[in-house]
Amino acid sequence: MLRARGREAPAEDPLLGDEAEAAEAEARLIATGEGRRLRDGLAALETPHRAAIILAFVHGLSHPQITERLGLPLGTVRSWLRQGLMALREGLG
Amino acid sequence: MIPTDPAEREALVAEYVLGTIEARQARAIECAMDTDAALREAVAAWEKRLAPLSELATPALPPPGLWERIAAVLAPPAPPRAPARAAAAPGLWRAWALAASAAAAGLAALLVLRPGPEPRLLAALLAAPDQPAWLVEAEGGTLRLAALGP
Repeated sequence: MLRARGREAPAEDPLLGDEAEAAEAEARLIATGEGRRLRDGLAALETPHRAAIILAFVHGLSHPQITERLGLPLGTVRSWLRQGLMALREGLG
Repeated sequence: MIPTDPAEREALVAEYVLGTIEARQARAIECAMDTDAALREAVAAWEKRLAPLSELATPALPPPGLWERIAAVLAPPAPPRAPARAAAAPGLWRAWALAASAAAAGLAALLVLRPGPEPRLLAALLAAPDQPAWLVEAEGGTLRLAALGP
Protein backbone atom coordinates (compact mmCIF):
# COMPACT_ATOMS: atom_id res chain seq x y z
CA MET A 1 0.00 0.00 0.00
CA LEU A 2 1.43 3.31 -1.04
CA ARG A 3 1.34 6.07 1.51
CA ALA A 4 2.95 9.44 1.62
CA ARG A 5 4.38 8.64 5.01
CA GLY A 6 6.70 11.12 6.58
CA ARG A 7 6.38 13.75 3.94
CA GLU A 8 7.46 17.05 5.40
CA ALA A 9 5.43 19.37 3.23
CA PRO A 10 1.77 18.48 3.14
CA ALA A 11 -0.61 20.32 0.87
CA GLU A 12 -1.44 23.92 1.56
CA ASP A 13 -5.05 23.53 2.60
CA PRO A 14 -5.05 23.33 6.40
CA LEU A 15 -8.35 21.49 6.42
CA LEU A 16 -7.39 19.07 3.72
CA GLY A 17 -9.69 16.24 4.04
CA ASP A 18 -12.70 18.40 3.38
CA GLU A 19 -12.19 17.92 -0.29
CA ALA A 20 -9.82 15.88 -2.31
CA GLU A 21 -6.73 17.86 -3.15
CA ALA A 22 -7.49 17.68 -6.81
CA ALA A 23 -10.45 16.63 -8.84
CA GLU A 24 -8.23 14.03 -10.46
CA ALA A 25 -7.38 12.45 -7.14
CA GLU A 26 -11.01 12.27 -6.18
CA ALA A 27 -11.84 10.76 -9.53
CA ARG A 28 -9.26 8.05 -8.86
CA LEU A 29 -10.70 7.52 -5.39
CA ILE A 30 -14.24 6.98 -6.60
CA ALA A 31 -13.20 4.92 -9.59
CA THR A 32 -13.87 1.77 -7.57
CA GLY A 33 -16.89 0.71 -5.56
CA GLU A 34 -14.75 0.44 -2.45
CA GLY A 35 -13.38 3.90 -3.02
CA ARG A 36 -16.87 5.36 -3.40
CA ARG A 37 -18.01 3.70 -0.20
CA LEU A 38 -14.98 5.00 1.63
CA ARG A 39 -15.56 8.51 0.31
CA ASP A 40 -19.19 8.38 1.44
CA GLY A 41 -18.14 6.99 4.80
CA LEU A 42 -15.65 9.80 5.25
CA ALA A 43 -18.17 12.37 4.13
CA ALA A 44 -20.52 11.21 6.87
CA LEU A 45 -17.89 11.90 9.55
CA GLU A 46 -17.61 15.14 11.41
CA THR A 47 -15.10 17.43 9.76
CA PRO A 48 -12.33 17.24 12.39
CA HIS A 49 -12.53 13.45 12.47
CA ARG A 50 -12.24 13.31 8.72
CA ALA A 51 -9.41 15.84 8.64
CA ALA A 52 -7.41 13.91 11.25
CA ILE A 53 -7.77 10.63 9.38
CA ILE A 54 -6.79 12.12 6.05
CA LEU A 55 -3.85 14.02 7.50
CA ALA A 56 -2.61 10.81 9.05
CA PHE A 57 -3.18 8.43 6.17
CA VAL A 58 -2.82 10.48 3.03
CA HIS A 59 -0.24 12.95 4.26
CA GLY A 60 1.58 10.60 6.57
CA LEU A 61 1.50 12.97 9.53
CA SER A 62 2.11 11.75 13.08
CA HIS A 63 0.00 12.70 16.10
CA PRO A 64 2.28 15.63 17.02
CA GLN A 65 2.31 16.86 13.42
CA ILE A 66 -1.48 16.73 13.22
CA THR A 67 -1.65 18.51 16.56
CA GLU A 68 0.54 21.27 15.23
CA ARG A 69 -1.32 21.41 11.96
CA LEU A 70 -4.78 21.70 13.47
CA GLY A 71 -3.65 23.73 16.50
CA LEU A 72 -5.28 21.38 18.97
CA PRO A 73 -4.13 19.43 22.01
CA LEU A 74 -2.61 16.01 21.46
CA GLY A 75 -5.32 14.27 23.48
CA THR A 76 -8.00 15.81 21.30
CA VAL A 77 -6.32 14.68 18.11
CA ARG A 78 -5.86 11.22 19.52
CA SER A 79 -9.50 10.85 20.44
CA TRP A 80 -10.69 12.35 17.13
CA LEU A 81 -8.65 9.85 15.23
CA ARG A 82 -10.00 7.01 17.27
CA GLN A 83 -13.61 8.15 17.15
CA GLY A 84 -13.31 8.90 13.47
CA LEU A 85 -11.94 5.46 12.68
CA MET A 86 -14.60 3.69 14.69
CA ALA A 87 -17.34 5.78 13.10
CA LEU A 88 -15.88 5.04 9.69
CA ARG A 89 -16.00 1.33 10.42
CA GLU A 90 -19.62 1.59 11.48
CA GLY A 91 -20.42 3.52 8.34
CA LEU A 92 -18.68 1.07 6.03
CA GLY A 93 -20.26 -1.91 7.72
CA MET B 1 1.18 -5.41 25.01
CA ILE B 2 -1.76 -6.01 22.61
CA PRO B 3 -4.98 -5.22 24.47
CA THR B 4 -7.47 -8.04 24.91
CA ASP B 5 -10.53 -5.81 25.07
CA PRO B 6 -12.11 -6.07 21.59
CA ALA B 7 -12.82 -2.36 21.23
CA GLU B 8 -9.31 -1.38 22.34
CA ARG B 9 -7.81 -3.96 20.03
CA GLU B 10 -9.83 -2.75 17.09
CA ALA B 11 -8.84 0.86 17.73
CA LEU B 12 -5.18 -0.07 18.03
CA VAL B 13 -5.28 -2.04 14.79
CA ALA B 14 -7.04 0.83 13.01
CA GLU B 15 -4.38 3.27 14.15
CA TYR B 16 -1.64 0.81 13.22
CA VAL B 17 -2.94 0.73 9.65
CA LEU B 18 -3.43 4.49 9.71
CA GLY B 19 0.23 4.75 10.67
CA THR B 20 -0.14 6.84 13.79
CA ILE B 21 0.95 4.50 16.57
CA GLU B 22 4.44 4.46 18.00
CA ALA B 23 7.06 2.31 16.35
CA ARG B 24 7.35 0.20 19.50
CA GLN B 25 3.64 -0.59 19.45
CA ALA B 26 3.73 -1.24 15.72
CA ARG B 27 6.50 -3.78 16.22
CA ALA B 28 4.47 -5.46 18.97
CA ILE B 29 1.55 -5.80 16.58
CA GLU B 30 3.76 -7.17 13.84
CA CYS B 31 5.20 -9.77 16.22
CA ALA B 32 1.76 -10.72 17.53
CA MET B 33 0.45 -11.15 13.98
CA ASP B 34 2.78 -14.14 13.55
CA THR B 35 0.70 -16.16 15.95
CA ASP B 36 -2.64 -14.32 16.13
CA ALA B 37 -4.79 -15.03 13.09
CA ALA B 38 -7.64 -12.81 14.31
CA LEU B 39 -5.22 -9.91 14.57
CA ARG B 40 -3.99 -10.55 11.04
CA GLU B 41 -7.56 -10.52 9.79
CA ALA B 42 -8.31 -7.29 11.60
CA VAL B 43 -5.24 -5.64 10.08
CA ALA B 44 -6.15 -6.90 6.60
CA ALA B 45 -9.71 -5.60 7.00
CA TRP B 46 -8.48 -2.13 7.94
CA GLU B 47 -5.97 -2.10 5.10
CA LYS B 48 -8.79 -2.95 2.72
CA ARG B 49 -11.02 -0.24 4.16
CA LEU B 50 -8.44 2.51 3.95
CA ALA B 51 -6.55 1.45 0.82
CA PRO B 52 -8.61 3.58 -1.61
CA LEU B 53 -7.49 6.67 0.31
CA SER B 54 -3.97 6.28 -0.99
CA GLU B 55 -5.34 7.59 -4.31
CA LEU B 56 -5.52 11.00 -2.67
CA ALA B 57 -1.80 11.10 -2.03
CA THR B 58 0.01 13.24 -4.55
CA PRO B 59 2.47 11.14 -6.46
CA ALA B 60 5.94 12.35 -5.57
CA LEU B 61 8.64 12.44 -8.21
CA PRO B 62 12.21 11.88 -7.10
CA PRO B 63 14.27 15.07 -7.17
CA PRO B 64 16.25 15.65 -10.38
CA GLY B 65 19.73 14.20 -10.33
CA LEU B 66 18.91 11.60 -7.69
CA TRP B 67 20.00 8.69 -9.83
CA GLU B 68 23.30 10.34 -10.66
CA ARG B 69 23.95 10.91 -6.97
CA ILE B 70 23.17 7.29 -6.15
CA ALA B 71 25.40 6.11 -8.99
CA ALA B 72 28.17 8.40 -7.77
CA VAL B 73 27.97 6.88 -4.30
CA LEU B 74 28.03 3.35 -5.68
CA ALA B 75 31.05 3.99 -7.87
CA PRO B 76 33.07 6.84 -6.34
CA PRO B 77 35.45 7.60 -9.23
CA ALA B 78 32.60 7.80 -11.75
CA PRO B 79 33.72 9.75 -14.77
CA PRO B 80 31.59 12.82 -15.54
CA ARG B 81 28.90 12.00 -18.05
CA ALA B 82 27.32 14.07 -20.75
CA PRO B 83 23.60 14.58 -20.03
CA ALA B 84 22.64 12.60 -23.13
CA ARG B 85 24.52 9.59 -21.83
CA ALA B 86 23.14 10.00 -18.37
CA ALA B 87 19.70 9.12 -19.70
CA ALA B 88 21.03 5.74 -20.76
CA ALA B 89 22.71 5.16 -17.42
CA PRO B 90 19.97 3.10 -15.75
CA GLY B 91 20.03 0.69 -18.70
CA LEU B 92 23.79 0.42 -18.51
CA TRP B 93 23.65 -0.16 -14.80
CA ARG B 94 21.04 -2.83 -15.23
CA ALA B 95 23.12 -4.60 -17.86
CA TRP B 96 26.19 -4.28 -15.70
CA ALA B 97 24.31 -5.63 -12.68
CA LEU B 98 22.98 -8.58 -14.67
CA ALA B 99 26.42 -9.38 -16.01
CA ALA B 100 27.96 -9.10 -12.56
CA SER B 101 25.27 -11.32 -11.09
CA ALA B 102 25.79 -13.89 -13.80
CA ALA B 103 29.53 -13.84 -13.22
CA ALA B 104 29.03 -14.24 -9.48
CA ALA B 105 26.62 -17.12 -10.02
CA GLY B 106 29.12 -18.75 -12.36
CA LEU B 107 31.92 -18.44 -9.84
CA ALA B 108 29.71 -19.82 -7.10
CA ALA B 109 28.76 -22.79 -9.29
CA LEU B 110 32.41 -23.37 -10.10
CA LEU B 111 33.35 -23.37 -6.43
CA VAL B 112 30.56 -25.77 -5.55
CA LEU B 113 30.89 -28.13 -8.49
CA ARG B 114 34.62 -28.22 -8.96
CA PRO B 115 36.25 -31.29 -7.44
CA GLY B 116 38.60 -30.56 -4.59
CA PRO B 117 41.90 -29.18 -5.75
CA GLU B 118 44.62 -31.78 -6.06
CA PRO B 119 47.96 -30.35 -5.16
CA ARG B 120 50.48 -31.46 -7.71
CA LEU B 121 54.09 -30.83 -6.86
CA LEU B 122 56.98 -31.12 -9.16
CA ALA B 123 60.67 -31.03 -8.36
CA ALA B 124 63.69 -31.59 -10.49
CA LEU B 125 66.70 -33.28 -9.01
CA LEU B 126 69.86 -32.01 -10.55
CA ALA B 127 73.00 -34.00 -11.15
CA ALA B 128 74.79 -30.77 -11.90
CA PRO B 129 73.52 -27.18 -11.96
CA ASP B 130 72.69 -27.43 -15.61
CA GLN B 131 71.83 -31.11 -15.71
CA PRO B 132 68.43 -32.26 -14.46
CA ALA B 133 68.57 -35.96 -13.66
CA TRP B 134 65.21 -36.85 -12.15
CA LEU B 135 61.80 -35.38 -12.14
CA VAL B 136 59.85 -36.02 -8.94
CA GLU B 137 56.11 -35.63 -9.10
CA ALA B 138 53.96 -35.84 -6.00
CA GLU B 139 50.23 -36.20 -6.52
CA GLY B 140 47.46 -37.62 -4.35
CA GLY B 141 49.83 -39.17 -1.86
CA THR B 142 51.97 -40.94 -4.43
CA LEU B 143 55.37 -40.12 -5.79
CA ARG B 144 56.46 -40.68 -9.33
CA LEU B 145 59.99 -40.50 -10.51
CA ALA B 146 61.04 -39.98 -14.08
CA ALA B 147 64.57 -40.27 -15.19
CA LEU B 148 65.58 -37.36 -17.34
CA GLY B 149 69.14 -38.33 -18.02
CA PRO B 150 70.29 -40.35 -20.96
